[in-house]
Amino acid sequence: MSAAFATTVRDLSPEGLVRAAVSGDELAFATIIDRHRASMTRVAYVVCGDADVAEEAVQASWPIVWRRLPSLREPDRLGAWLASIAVNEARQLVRRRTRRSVVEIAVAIRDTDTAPDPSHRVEDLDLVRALAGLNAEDRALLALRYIAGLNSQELGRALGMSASGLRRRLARLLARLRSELSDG
Amino acid sequence: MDDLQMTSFERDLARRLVAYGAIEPRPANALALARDAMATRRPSGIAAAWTSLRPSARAAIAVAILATILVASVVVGSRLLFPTQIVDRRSTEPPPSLLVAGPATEDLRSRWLADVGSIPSIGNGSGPVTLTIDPTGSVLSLANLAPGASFASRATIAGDVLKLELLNAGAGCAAGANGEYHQAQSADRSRLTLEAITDACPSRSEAVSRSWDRTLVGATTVGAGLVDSMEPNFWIRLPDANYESRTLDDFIEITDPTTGGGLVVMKNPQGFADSCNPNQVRYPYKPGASAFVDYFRQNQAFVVVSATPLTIDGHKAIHLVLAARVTGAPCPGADLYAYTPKACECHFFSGDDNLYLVDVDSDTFMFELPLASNPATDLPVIQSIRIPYVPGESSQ
Repeated sequence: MSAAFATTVRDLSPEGLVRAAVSGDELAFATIIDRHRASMTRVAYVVCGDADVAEEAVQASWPIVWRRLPSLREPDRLGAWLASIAVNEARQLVRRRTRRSVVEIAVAIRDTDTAPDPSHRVEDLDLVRALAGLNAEDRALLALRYIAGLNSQELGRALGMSASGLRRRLARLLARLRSELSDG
Repeated sequence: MDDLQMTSFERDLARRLVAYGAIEPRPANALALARDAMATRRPSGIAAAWTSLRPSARAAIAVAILATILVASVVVGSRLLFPTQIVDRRSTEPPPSLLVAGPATEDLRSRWLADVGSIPSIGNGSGPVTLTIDPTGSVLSLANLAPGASFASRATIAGDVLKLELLNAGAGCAAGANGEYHQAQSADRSRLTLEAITDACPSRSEAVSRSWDRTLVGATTVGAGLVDSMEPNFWIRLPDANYESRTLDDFIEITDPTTGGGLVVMKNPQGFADSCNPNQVRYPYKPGASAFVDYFRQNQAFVVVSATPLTIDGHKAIHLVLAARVTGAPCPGADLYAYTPKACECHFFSGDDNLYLVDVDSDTFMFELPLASNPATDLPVIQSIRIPYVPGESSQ
């Protein structure tokens, strides 16, 4: 699908795609979706622990991305920006569910239609247990920091925190995880 | 980029997280996703520029515009500036015979909430269920009902008839099962009533046929509804606008990005010991609206302009007007760390503020209407609050 888009979207750099998408080029926007949908689903999955919810979060992200794309100031950080939107959607979905029921982080390997080759994924049970004990905000922080690679300024913007508050929270979180995770 | 140095533990954690999250989403048509997303409205160029401004800048511009309009109205006369406009929405609608089925109208695209009770054919548990009509108006689905009972359906509407086509088999129904429902909304559009005309999926009919309360969590074009992301839930009537919401622990912001208007609510607000200190050491928390006013009275960065007792939905409340100290302000920068929900690892900058503090049992709720500063305009909104609010009860 990416190759098909490449024949019609001239500038495939993040800046070029964003510029074209903002101007209403649906192929450019589709290329952005094609490039980033999988990575967004992965960060959303760390937040919610459910592949279906993660996909739902990413699906809900696209209209938001479309509306907010003109305000993106650093197109070269498009991936980080998209990840923060997907994570926030995942947090909202988790929050709505956890109000009334406990969402369990998936321990079992998911259906083969969502994980084409499950043999490649060996469940890290220590990590799964540790994640299950965290709230969605902490899992969002982990996903954005360690999977999406957001810097502290981007993390602060995405999570509504100051840089100093973020460092303190991350330090507390890491201290907790150190005590809970085996050498794995 | 990496301004947070990683330790070896963090590098290992990152590796494990990446492995944990290594799922592959189901294949999707990116072009179709793009088209669906682009079918939603986006703020105009001016509006987009407006939303890119800092809230304080937006507020300043809004105040300047309001002041200009006020002066102009005195000079020119309010009748010329504000001619009475009566718009009869119904008169613009074609007769039912000419209606063509299309996506659900914008006022239906929202999250709706109802306590459906026990439905034996579905075997659901208790608790409120949400019905969502997505931002494109083309998919209806339920959540928190029962596993496999989301009833995700393609939705189209013609006049007051909502047509549903089940997307996936489940809950005793075959994919493609069609249903038709009369839909009607209350005058303030905060409540939606769906009544089955016919449905080949009986369990969907049992779940969907009822009255639903609009929630303001998520995207909505209507301002009257309940907020179910905080405990207890509350109901409020804001002016209609294109709202989006952002939630944190004990916090919600419902904003129209084109104007900056909307609502900010936090539960159990807590101050900072030094509003100029970016380390954000918290001021000792004391429950109650009065204690929060006392926090500002001792805070050198703020002046308490007024603290007026009032009653909101039968609860003791205080209307607190604050001004940032202009002269002798101790902060070298312009940002004042003012408050945060006690339960939230976050902070909020402040300056001049117009806050409504409401004591609800042992909790204190802080309501702020970001663009409002006139009791004549914001009091009706504040007095519409119903807290706690149980889905299905009267909001009047």
